[in-house]
Amino acid sequence: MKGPSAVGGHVSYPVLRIKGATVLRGSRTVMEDIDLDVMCGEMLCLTGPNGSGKSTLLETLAGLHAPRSGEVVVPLPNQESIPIRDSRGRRTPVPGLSIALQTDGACLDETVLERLKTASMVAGKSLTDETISAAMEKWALSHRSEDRLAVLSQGLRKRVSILAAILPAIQSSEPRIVLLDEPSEGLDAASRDLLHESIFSLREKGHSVVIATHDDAIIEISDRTVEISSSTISLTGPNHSVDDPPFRDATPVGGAISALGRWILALEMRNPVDTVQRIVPALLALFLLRSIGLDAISDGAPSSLAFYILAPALIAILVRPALIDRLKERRSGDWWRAHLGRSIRPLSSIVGSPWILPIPLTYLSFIVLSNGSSDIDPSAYAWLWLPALSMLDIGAAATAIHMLVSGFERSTAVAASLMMAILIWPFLLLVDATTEILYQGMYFDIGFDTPLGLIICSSLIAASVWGAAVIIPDE
Amino acid sequence: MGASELAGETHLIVAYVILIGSLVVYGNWLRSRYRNIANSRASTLEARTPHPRDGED
Amino acid sequence: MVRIPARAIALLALGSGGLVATIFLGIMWAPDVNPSQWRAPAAYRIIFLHVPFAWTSFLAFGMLFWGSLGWYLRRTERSWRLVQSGSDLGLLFGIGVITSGPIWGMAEWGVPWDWADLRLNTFALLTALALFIVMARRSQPDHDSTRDTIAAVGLFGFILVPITAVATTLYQKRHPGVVIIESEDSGLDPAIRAVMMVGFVSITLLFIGFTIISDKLYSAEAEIELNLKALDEMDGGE
Repeated sequence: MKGPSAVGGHVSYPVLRIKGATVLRGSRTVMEDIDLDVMCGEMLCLTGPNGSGKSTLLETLAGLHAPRSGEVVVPLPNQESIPIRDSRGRRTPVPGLSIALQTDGACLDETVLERLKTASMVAGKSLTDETISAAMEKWALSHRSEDRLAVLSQGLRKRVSILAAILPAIQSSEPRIVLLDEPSEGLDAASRDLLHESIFSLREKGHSVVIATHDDAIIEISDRTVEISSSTISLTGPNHSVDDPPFRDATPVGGAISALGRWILALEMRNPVDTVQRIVPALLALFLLRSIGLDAISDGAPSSLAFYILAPALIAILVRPALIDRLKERRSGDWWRAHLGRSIRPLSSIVGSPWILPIPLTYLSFIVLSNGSSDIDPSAYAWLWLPALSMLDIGAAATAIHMLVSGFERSTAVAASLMMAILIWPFLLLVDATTEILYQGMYFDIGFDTPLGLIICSSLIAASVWGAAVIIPDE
Repeated sequence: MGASELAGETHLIVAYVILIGSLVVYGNWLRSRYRNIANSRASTLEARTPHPRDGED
Repeated sequence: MVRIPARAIALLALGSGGLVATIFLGIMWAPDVNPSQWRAPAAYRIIFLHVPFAWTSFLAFGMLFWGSLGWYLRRTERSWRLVQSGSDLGLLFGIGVITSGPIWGMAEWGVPWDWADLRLNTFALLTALALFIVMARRSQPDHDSTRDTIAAVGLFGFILVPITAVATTLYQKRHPGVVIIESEDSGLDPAIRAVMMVGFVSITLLFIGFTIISDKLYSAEAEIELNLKALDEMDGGE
């Protein structure tokens, strides 16, 4: 049921459209053949009993669920549109989107200030510290600005989540789309009043606000209400004439990409779980190798030493990244997906790779295991960083495979390592390259037998595996 | 030569046991699934059509 | 109630009989190889089952690929059943290949694995993929989203096949094949070839019989699941 509409008597245009969408959650059909327009500058409330599909509808608008049939689009002039999500796998972030999920949508290691800055950067707004401080002051969050979300109460985390969604819109002169899922839940009376005031002000500024809620006070001030039950919707609200939508670009994701990079780095520096998880088995392996006796290593084939030197770095890069758990925590990955769309996997597999470990681990292994062997070329030491650097490609491929496999509902119940075997060959080629460097020294000819040629082949194979792992959408 | 003959035969036996054994295990698994289906309460068509309980409309 | 077609039972019976005949002929009738040229002459008889297993695992992986593609593009139940049966049978026959091959390699060449061998490594890769899919199907709830992810992983696994081909070819340039486990083609004695043909036919019949039965069972299990869901609703569930 589509309701062309306008807001407050003014002519308006649709900013987001669901066309004939059927959405399943698990095996349950939550929405069947739904049509809905979100108009510019309107406040739209999604109501219905618990479990009726309010959150699903909201998240479908954000492009988080692939419809079984139908599509979600941003309408453009001349009957054209930007496809946000459809059943054929096309996917684009909604331009001008801000979203507050029912859970926090944030990793609990983030601080309050970080959360607000990240949300602003993702929205393409670089807000000054003063602006953010003023907003935190208004929402009684200043005293907690440097605290991690993990130590806050649920009510406080809710305030942070809402503020993160509305702040970019409050500061923006261009119309944005703000999606809020049960924003009143868990808030005290004063915060709820502030919420109502903020929502009203957003509407006055011409932003579109869609809220899934039970809060009567919000429903009362909304322009239209969507009642959801039995997989269908019914609209209540005034019908007015509709204008042609203006042309809009697909959303630039540059701000979101750099925000993701900073986010990953900041979390790891605050709580270096990923680094520790990788280093410990690598060092254990190294010291076990050392303890079996250097004679056993040096009496073997020349490639043995190269293998043992690179093995700890290989162990480190194959470990499951902590980033995956961070993205699963409180659905922070879904929040990022709403803003980045499909590019989250390629981006996070590169940024989330263990950049700093392979080179130091390789040199450490060399020092511990080479025992001043006289067969080794004296210049080898200066060039070991080259094959170690190429291990980063293998690391990115391994991270991408982990992420592909983590798409399951019960991702802890699948064995990602079964898909890693392909990375043996790029590693073996690097072992060959390292053997050449150790015993012949570095030379810069390019051929299948030369260090440079072997490293390039290894990187190309690893890059192909990475490409295969990021290119196939899994939903 | 005798030792390697024996070694070859052992390998042969182990390989054949694994190959045939895996087929047998799979066949048994199919059979147990068949039995589970046959004995399943929900395997009859009747289960799809709910009978009204007393007192319900 | 599931009905197993009589032809499937007949195929299983014929295939099993043929398999017994293959083993008998392979051990008792097939000629010995020259002991001066082979380190473990008795072990060569592994090929009478190893090679047919490789052939059927190839068929099973093909089924898995076709089913993954079919589900990925069109989401039909038939495609999903191909994924189910293909992954089970790919695992079954693939494990046979990657265990019997190295066992023979150890006996004859003292080396269980050759990273430069294209076919062996491709079978290992696809067997690992089949194992992953079988485990994922058992551990995850059966929803469209799970099937989508499994199909995506399946297709990823198959994209790895040409990558593996390139990788092993590159690796072979520096490490020419130590072990040639898979090259059974050149100059085979006609009697050996005959036994291998019996093995091929027997295993293929078994494979077809298994496929038919597996498909019927998965179809029946899907129907039972629908009935169970209907019972859930009768009892006021969801």
